[in-house]
Amino acid sequence: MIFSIPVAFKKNRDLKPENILYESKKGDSILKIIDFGTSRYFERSFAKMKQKFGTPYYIAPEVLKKDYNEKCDIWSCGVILYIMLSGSPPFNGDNNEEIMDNVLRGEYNFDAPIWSEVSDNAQNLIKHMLEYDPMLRYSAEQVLQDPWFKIVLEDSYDKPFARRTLSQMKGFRVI
Amino acid sequence: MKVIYKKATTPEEQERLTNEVNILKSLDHPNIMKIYEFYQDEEKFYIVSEFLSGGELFQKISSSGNFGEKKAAKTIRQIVSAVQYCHMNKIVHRY
Repeated sequence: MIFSIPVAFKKNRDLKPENILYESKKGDSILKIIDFGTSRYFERSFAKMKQKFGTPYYIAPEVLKKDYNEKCDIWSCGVILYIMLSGSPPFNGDNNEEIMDNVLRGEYNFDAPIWSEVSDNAQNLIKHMLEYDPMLRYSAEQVLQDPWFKIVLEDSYDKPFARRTLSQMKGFRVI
Repeated sequence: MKVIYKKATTPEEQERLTNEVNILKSLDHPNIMKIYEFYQDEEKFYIVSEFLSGGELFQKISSSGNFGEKKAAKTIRQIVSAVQYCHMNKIVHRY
């Protein structure tokens, strides 16, 4: 596999969990972002094509409209966070078109019962990351300064989510 | 070591790949995979990068029994700090 980081994708510029790898199998391993932009070349070279556009769960609406800036990465991170906390993507559908329609609409909710286990602070941060208007959406710096991190990281106990949340995550990983 | 065969790519793609990988090589952040070497001969490109053996983000999370809000915070913080580094270095702006 060819790895690098997500820069300069002319198409398909979205951060996705398939491009985020753990350094090692240790429990405390750090994560590293790799690049989809270059892995594309490899796939074609070896006729090992995945779906041409991959999974559209993480793509920002303005990217679909082809008018975007760096804030699209924050949207993708917001989707990843939403999934980590609930086990389901905020914008879903039976096929890629449906998913993209829902992304373009930009409507999502915290209605699933699982969200009652998640703090308001976490949900609030997600709202800032999935803000439809890129101008109003948090920057990376604003995300990192969000009070949720301080509050939750100072908490000595990490209450695990219900098991089904975790197993759900496998379910939609690959279309 | 990763190898890309040139004959499977167009000259335009080769130029883009070279540009992209050279940018990546210049980056240095703990949450971005490091590229050590990038070179080519007549037939192939060669990319030497850090070896990551831990698997994909959601694979590991879904097989881990104790995942909660704190771990989610630690996880997303690493990803966003890599994103911040990229944005600070203005490497995302190429459309």
